[in-house]
This record gives sequence, structure tokens and C-alpha cells, in this order.
Amino acid sequence: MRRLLAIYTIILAMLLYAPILVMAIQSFNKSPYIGSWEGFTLTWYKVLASDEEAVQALLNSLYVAAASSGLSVGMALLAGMAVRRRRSLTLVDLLTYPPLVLPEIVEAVSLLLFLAALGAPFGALTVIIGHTAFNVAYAYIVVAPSLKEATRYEEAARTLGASPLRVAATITLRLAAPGLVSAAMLTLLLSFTDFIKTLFTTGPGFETLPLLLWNRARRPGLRLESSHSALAALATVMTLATLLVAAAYTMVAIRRGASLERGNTIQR
Amino acid sequence: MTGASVTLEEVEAGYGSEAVLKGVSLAFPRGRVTAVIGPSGCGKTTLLRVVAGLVQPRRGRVLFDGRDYTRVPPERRNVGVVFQDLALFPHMTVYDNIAFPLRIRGYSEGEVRRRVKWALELVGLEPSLFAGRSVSSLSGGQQQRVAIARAIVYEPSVLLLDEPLSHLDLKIRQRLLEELRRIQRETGATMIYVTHDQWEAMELGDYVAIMRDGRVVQWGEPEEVYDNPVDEFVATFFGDANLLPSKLVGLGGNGLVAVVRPEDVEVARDKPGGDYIVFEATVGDKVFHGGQVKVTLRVDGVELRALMPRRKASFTAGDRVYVAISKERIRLVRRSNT
Amino acid sequence: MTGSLAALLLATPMILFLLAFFYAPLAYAVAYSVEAGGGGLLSAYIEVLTRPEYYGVVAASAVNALIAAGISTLLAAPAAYYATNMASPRMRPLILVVLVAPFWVDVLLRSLSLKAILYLVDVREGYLAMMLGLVYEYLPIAVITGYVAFSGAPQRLVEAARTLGATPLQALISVLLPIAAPWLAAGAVIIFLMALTDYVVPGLLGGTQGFTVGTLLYYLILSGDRWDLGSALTSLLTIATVAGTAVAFKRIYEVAARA
Repeated sequence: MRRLLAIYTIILAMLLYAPILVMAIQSFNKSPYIGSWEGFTLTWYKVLASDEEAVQALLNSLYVAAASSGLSVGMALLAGMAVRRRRSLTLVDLLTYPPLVLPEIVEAVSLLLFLAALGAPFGALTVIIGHTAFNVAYAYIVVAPSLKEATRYEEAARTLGASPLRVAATITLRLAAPGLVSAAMLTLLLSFTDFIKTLFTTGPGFETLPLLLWNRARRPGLRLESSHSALAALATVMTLATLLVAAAYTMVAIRRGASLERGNTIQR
Repeated sequence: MTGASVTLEEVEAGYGSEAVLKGVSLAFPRGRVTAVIGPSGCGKTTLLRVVAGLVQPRRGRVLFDGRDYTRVPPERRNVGVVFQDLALFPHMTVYDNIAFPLRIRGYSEGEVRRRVKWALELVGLEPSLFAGRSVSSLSGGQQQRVAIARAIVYEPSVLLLDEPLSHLDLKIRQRLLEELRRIQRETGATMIYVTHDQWEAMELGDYVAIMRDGRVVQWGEPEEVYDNPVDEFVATFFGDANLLPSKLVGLGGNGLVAVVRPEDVEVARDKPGGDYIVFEATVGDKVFHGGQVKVTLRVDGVELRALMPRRKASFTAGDRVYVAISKERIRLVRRSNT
Repeated sequence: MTGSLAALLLATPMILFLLAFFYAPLAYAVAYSVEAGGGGLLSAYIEVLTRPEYYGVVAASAVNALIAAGISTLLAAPAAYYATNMASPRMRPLILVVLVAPFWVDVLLRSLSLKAILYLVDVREGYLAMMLGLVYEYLPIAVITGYVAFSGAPQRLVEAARTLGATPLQALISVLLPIAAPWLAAGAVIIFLMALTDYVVPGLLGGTQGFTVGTLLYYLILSGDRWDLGSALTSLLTIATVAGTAVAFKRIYEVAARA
């Protein structure tokens, strides 16, 4: 039974990674087409590096991700500090749940209609606003519990003679730091890989990496840069980057979860 | 119901590369209570899981009534287990939890009802009040009783309990301990009771098996083990014991150490006669233990503990007194590396 | 008391931001949809709900999303169970990381990768490719919900059932599944909602059959210029989401409230 499940799990993992692996292999194929292997080459990565459009899209993506992540974590941290001593659900908590469950395209369409009605200039700014609207909720659900957890030690610190400001700096924020790091990584990832929200909130001339990939993937093979193998190279680089951040994030999250669990057990 | 005898032969077991049981041979006599006791991490829970069939031993055999049960799956061993964390099914009521093993065995609903009622009454829960409750609405002691009822309702031949009372307060613990004793007598099951609490073991066990580091270091009736511990570890773990320095009593050395129970340390103002080892000491702390008093005595930089009835402890800290220990009460045991 | 009031002020930036760029747009979309149709109040809704080219897409898309949610939940469940209850404690987080990490890779990238590998085994764009794409996309989420579900039904309970006389299969049916089911169902609802509105997978893998509510919205809003119908559809989806998650989590709240 146990062995059977282990084998099943391994097969499932292999199926999950097989496409990604095929993509990575294709990026080293001399042939621009998938399905015919003509030997190993790094050409497609050179094409990618000299592809100004792609580089610009990457910079745009990084800019949007950094701005949205910073804004989100900042606002979430302030809000989390505000409610960290509340035991029960607060209005703030309730406000952050819907952005987590509502389908993104619904959010995106509504925001587009709303921004259009306001006459907002579509472009980098509207994309950042769009991303932050969901990112801030994700940041909050990661940051708020770690602040709440840290609060448990605030009273102890006060009785030991620390001033409130000192407690906030040396105890609360210090203990919540892993939560802040997770939140930053999570929001960077969500923003960097976002497609739908970006598609609906961007304006002419502002293209992020996912949009570029989409446009090229929809019309493959028209240019060298949109050949199967060139796309594969771009996809491989993006995949590798996200997998690294994602693995780091998950590890931090799990370790935090585990240490919280340990803490609770000890308390019991 | 009749109990089954359980025998472990040279059992080795572990998780991954880690060996938890390192060759355990032990017999659990039919219809009797054996308390397995040892410090945490000694392998006592693993031993219980081996008997239940939840852990496959790497080597050795598990016999039920002389038949090899090593490869028999847990559901065919007819054992009842009360887990340390109870493992009550959260999605079932008290009734359904207790009825579970009966329904699995295909009892008619009438029979199920009759037996669940019997089991609830046996553990002291009024059926009409508790049957329909959800387990999460019960107190710790009540959940405990439900877990016990669930484990005995199908009259298993072997009842296994893994520190079932460890997280209950003293009073409930005392009551449940008495009830377990009664239930065991009424059902006649062979009972294996794992605990780290020496008092529980003494009170409940017809026999005790003392474990340390994956091995059974001593087995016997509680009084016998208490009176004749095989080594320093057993002497100090199972009951309280004073280690007597050889320079003080002229005994021990050579890998042996002299030990004496606190209640065998007598204290007097006048020098007593008879076959005693006698020396002078200073009274240190006096700790009140209800009817008895534990007195700390200092002699030559060594501390001894003496336990005596309150009315005999008429001295106060700082008094010079005579300490008398009957030579008969001193045991020479192997030194343990602790 | 003033201190805690001042502290609450710290929450205002986030609250205002969410109100301005999440809640106000939703409210605006609803308000807009109510009167945007050419034929008076609610006419956009009437058109979406009565014209087969619209409700047909919604219905077909719902069926597909349901299938995808069911299959991915079922496929993920055994692995999630293994990761929570059977693997050695040290391996558990690692297994979870391995199974969930692909989720963070952009949907676009994964759909593109899947397209490549399907191309190799001669499965071209179309219905099958789209369904495979949906399952592939949401499998990691199903692993997460499965992980949550089976963490609540620990191996100890299965062991208890075994000692009480249940075979492994009986333990699975009478103990494990009843405890895990509400969570698995809630996970399936979430996946259903995401698959229903997916835009990328049908776009890349569906070919001419790749039409979902997501693609429909895209065409209504970004290419078709039928904002009235788009906003009506959006509002309907909002209601469906609220209702769906409410139903899905009601059971869980009940269970949690009892515990």
C-alpha cells in the first residue's frame, strides 16, 4: 500500500515536470522546430540575449513586480500591525478574503471598466494598481498571522523592561521577518507571472514578459524570435527563475509553519 | 472473554535506519496486567505498536497464545488499543465511535446497541446522556473513557494502553486507574499498559517490565523489582533510591553501588543499637508529603533522603541526628552509566 | 483606547486601496451591467442568458471545468495522502514542495510546455489537449487542498481503525474519506471556478474548441466591444463565486465550529 502510493506519487511528480523538461531540452535544439532533434546549440539563448524587445519586457516585468510587491507588503504590514492584537476576525480580515477567491478575469474586467470610466491612462501605473489589488490580499494573509504570533512575546518583552517602540523593533518585526520575506517573495512571483490582470489593464506600448510570450506563442514561427526553440529558451529561463523563487518561498513557509507548530506544542 | 498470552522473541524494530527496539524478549501472561515503563524514547510505545501489528519487526517473532502472529495484520489480531492521543474519530458521535469495531465485525444493530450500552456503563458514562454527543464536546476525562469503551466493546483478547492517562489531572487519573483495574478484572483481557509514571505502573501492574534504550532491563512483580533492582538505573527509576558512597557504608565499589530506599533510612536523636550502619548527619530540608515527610540529611557532602511518618519527624533544619540503615535493607546493584 | 484607535489608522492605506481598486470596480461593473444593455434595465443579462451562443459557452465551459476539477482532485488525492500520512516526516515537506512548485511557474509557460510535449505524442490543439491542460494546470492546487484535507485525517486514525478490526479499505471508506471529503470538495469548487474562467489554457491548447467563459469575456470586452454583455457576465460570475465558496466552506465551518 505504502509502496504503491510512493510509486504513484513519483509518477505524478514526473508527469508534472515532464513538459517543463521537454521545453528545456527543446531550447538546446539546433532545429527551430519541435519534434526534430538536430543537435545541441546555445544559439537560442544568444538570440534571446540580443532580443531587445524581450529584454525590455523583462525590465517592465521586474519593475511592475518590485513596485507591486513593495506596495503590497508595506500596506499589509501596516494593516497587520493595526490588528495584530485582535483575537477574532476583523473587518480587515474580511476585506482581504474576496480578492483571494474571485476569479482573476472577473477582477480584471471590472477594473478595466472602472478605470476606463475614470479615464485613467492605461500603462505601467494601471498594471501596478491591478497587480496590487490582489497582491495586497496575499501579502496580508501571510504577514498578519506572523505578526499575531509575534505578539505573544510582546508582553513578555514589556515585563522585561523594553519600551513599546523597542518591542516593536526588536521583538515583533524581528519575529515576523520570515513572514515578511515570504510575503515579498509570494507577491513578486504572483506579479511577475501574472497574465490576465496585465492583459486587461495595460496600455499601448507597455508589454510584460508573459504578454510577450503570449503574443509570440499565439503566432509561432513568424520570426526567428518566435520559433519553437527560441520560445523554449525564453520559457526555460523564466521557469527556472520562478521555480527557484518558488522553492525558496515554499521552504520558508513550511519551516515557519513547522516552527509555529513546535512553538504551539511546547506551549500546550 | 479470555485473554491471550503474548510473547515477544528477540524483537528488533525501528524506523528508517534508526533501531528503536534492540532485541526484546518478553512474555505477557494471559489475563494479567503488565506495565511497561521507561523514560521517554526508550522504545515502549514502539513495543506496543509491534504487539498491535502497526510496526513490523525487522527481526524476531510475535506470538499470540504460542502462534506466530508476526505477519498478521492489526485488524486480525483482536487487540484493543487506547492510543496516547486517543485517536477518536472526529466525524462520529460517541455511539458511532464505540459501535465502529462492532459494525466492522458485522454485529446486528440490536447487538451493537446492547454492547455499546454495556461498554459505556462499564467506563462510567451514562448511555442516555453521552451516546449522541460528538466526541469534541467531551472533556478530556470523558474522551478517555470513550476511547477505553471503544477498545473493550468487542472484548479483545489483548488490551493495549499507551500512556492513556498522561494528560489528565491527578484526581481523574486516580479514578480511571481504579476503573481500568476493575474493567480488566471483569473482562479478563491480557493488558499491556505503557507508561512513564512509576506510580501508575506499581498500582496497576501484576508485572512490570522496565525498559531502557530499546531493551528490557528487568521484568517481575512490582514489589520484587522494587526490592531487588538489578542495577542503579532500575533502582532510581522505579521508586526513589539513595546511592550510598562506599566510604560511608563500607560497601560497593568494583562496578557495584549500594542503594537504599528513603523509607529504610531511619533517623533518631539517640544512637540506636542493633545490626545497623550508623552515622551522624545534619538535617537539611523537610518537605511535607501529606502523611509523610521527606527529610534531607547531609553527611560528608553527601545528601540522603529519608521518608518517615510525620509524627516521627520532630527535628528541624540544622539539628544533628543519627542516621541508621539496616544492613538487610541495603542492596548492591550494578552501576549504570547514566 | 485612543492608542488602539491610532493603531487602527495603520490599516487605512490597505482598506482604502482595496475599496478603491477591488470593491469599487466590482460595484461599478454591477451597476454598469444593470443599465448598459441597449434594451433597458437588465437587458444585457437577458441577452447573455437567452442567446445560445453565450449561455451555450457558459454551460459547456462549466461542464469542462467540472470534469477538470474532478479529475485533478482525484489524481492529486493519493499523492497528497502519501505526502501527509505515509512518507517519513522528513520527506513530507519535500514532497509537497516538489508537487506544488510547478504551480508557481506561469500558466503560460506550463501550457506552452505541455503543448510541446503533446506535440511530440501527436496530440494537437483541441478538446483533449485543452482538458489535459486544465488538469495539468490545477493539479498542484489539488495537491495543496488534498494536503490540507488529509492533514485533518491523520494516519493515527487509520491505525486506530485497523486495530479495531477494519481492513485498509474499510479504514479508507469509513474514516479517511468522510474526514477528508469536505476539504476535497472545497478544493474542487475552487478549481472549478478557476477552470471556468481560464483564458490561457483554452487559448493556447484548445484550438477552435477552446472556448471558456474566460475567452468569451476576452472577446466581449477586448475585441468585441460588447462591454454591456461582458459586465453582465462578470457580475454573474461574481455571484456564482460568492455562492460557490459559501457552499463549499459551509461544511468546513460547521465541522470547525463543532471542534
